[in-house]
Amino acid sequence: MPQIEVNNVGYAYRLGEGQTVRALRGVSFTVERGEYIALVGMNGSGKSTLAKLLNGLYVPSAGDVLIDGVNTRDEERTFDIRRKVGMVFQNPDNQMVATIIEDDVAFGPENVGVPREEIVERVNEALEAVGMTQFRTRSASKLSGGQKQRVAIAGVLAMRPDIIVFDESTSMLDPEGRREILAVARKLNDGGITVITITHNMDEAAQADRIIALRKGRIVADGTPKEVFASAAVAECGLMLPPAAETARLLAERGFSFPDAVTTEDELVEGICSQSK
Amino acid sequence: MLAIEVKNLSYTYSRKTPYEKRALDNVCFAVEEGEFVGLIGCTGSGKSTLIQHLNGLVKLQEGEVTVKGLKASDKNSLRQLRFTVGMVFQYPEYQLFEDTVAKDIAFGPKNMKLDKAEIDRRVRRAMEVVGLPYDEFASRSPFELSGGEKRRAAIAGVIAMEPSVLVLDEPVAGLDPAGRKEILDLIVRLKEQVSPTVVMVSHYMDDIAALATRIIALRDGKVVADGSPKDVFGDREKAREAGIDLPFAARIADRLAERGIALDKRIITPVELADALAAYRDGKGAETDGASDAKDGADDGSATEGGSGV
Repeated sequence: MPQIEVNNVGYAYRLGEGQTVRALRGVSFTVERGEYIALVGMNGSGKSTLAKLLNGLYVPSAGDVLIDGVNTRDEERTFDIRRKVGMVFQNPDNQMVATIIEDDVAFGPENVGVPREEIVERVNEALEAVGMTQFRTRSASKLSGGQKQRVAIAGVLAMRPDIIVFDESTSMLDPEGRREILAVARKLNDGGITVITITHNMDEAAQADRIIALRKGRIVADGTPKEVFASAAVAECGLMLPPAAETARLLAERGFSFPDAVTTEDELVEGICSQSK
Repeated sequence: MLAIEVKNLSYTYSRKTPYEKRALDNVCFAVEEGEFVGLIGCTGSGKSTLIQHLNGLVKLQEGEVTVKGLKASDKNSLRQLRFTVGMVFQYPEYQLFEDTVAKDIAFGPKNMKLDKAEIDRRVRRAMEVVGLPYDEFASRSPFELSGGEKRRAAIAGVIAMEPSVLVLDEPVAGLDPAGRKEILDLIVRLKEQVSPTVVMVSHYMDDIAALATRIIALRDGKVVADGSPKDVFGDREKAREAGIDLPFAARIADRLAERGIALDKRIITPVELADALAAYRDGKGAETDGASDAKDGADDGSATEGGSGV
């Protein structure tokens, strides 16, 4: 059984006075445990709506979303699903609920009645996983953006999730902060957590195992970064090539040839070295 | 002619409290008219505090800021200073407030007490430059526009004051790739047509490498690098000390150097990298002067895969 099943999902919301916007139509895909997926598309293509459908913040207008076989429509299982699917949002400042970092991380498990000793254990583990242990008794307001996002991730981890959705979680960070978050996401994925990241950064998307590209609420491409960046989806979804692919294209214009599509820095460097020695 | 002069500028938040923080520490630089300054530095380095000084949004504590001959310390010219320096803040679309796009854009020029005909001329021109045709957009609500259109409308509101210095704080944050390109192209156009001097705050070194003629880097409130992008990125040791990230092309050039392909350290854009590699392949790798000069042989198909041993 796939970990996530999205079956023919549609979602419409009201703009008042009978006007509805159809944010998603006929969206279907499945995700296996441990995948690392980038969700890409223009502003307004439905990415964030889709993310909010995955943990039951939204319920589909049509079709079904199943997490480990449990339908997000099943209200009795809502908390189960929210625990399994953690969300990290864009603005680190909007996600802090407590002033002291360890209290912030403990907020989730406290709310679902986890016994005290276990909360301590979970908070320790979560802070360790994001490399913020030494800051545990500090005030959240004194942290950098990347550190705040790592605390937000720790708060999600304290719920012991199986899936984490990052909704443009790096877009407000400086390059250092972005690297910190990507490294944490990669490490968690290596530990078995499924990662779904919504991003406008093509370099980030190129590092995922799989890219799902949305356009006007529909999936227009679903495949490896190589497949997607070589497809018409790039133009259709207003994407750019990642810088490595763009550079390979410029080199190809100058007579270089790359037998395989280039999407990452490593592939570019290897490709250049193999024909320049 | 000098557009901006910042002399010995220091600023401390929450002075004389336990939370005292020195945000700017003896910052000095001068910007000539026509420069495109990329202002870089990590979160908390003082970039925002610095740009807020440029149009007098922050009261001077120590030092002096002069823009087009207007001193920020002179209360009598503060109004004029605000019209001279156009500020586009992060997520400027959150500041849209009028019920039509044209009224929103007219807000600035109205504050300047211009006559009606001049206000109308400026609104039309600003809309034209940002690519929101007047006939199509003037009477629409700014809140019905798409994300990219909203941002352009907000920028038009600043441009309508026809500022001679344009300051933009992370102008492409949160935009999708197509939207980013649209706004970056727009900034180039604004520099050519409206505001000859531009200061852009950005975390994207590739955008800085492509657009800026000069980099000013801040760290802990101090200027830690100031020069052309080629000089600043090209001095790897200094860049590392200053905590400056390299643009993509420079990173790749370094990785290639480790593999025995030595290229110019001053390569900062993908096009320069591709040109340099083509020249290297064609046996001109020894050249060390400006990578951008190596444009020859670019489309020379005869050399394809030649001698590569693939």
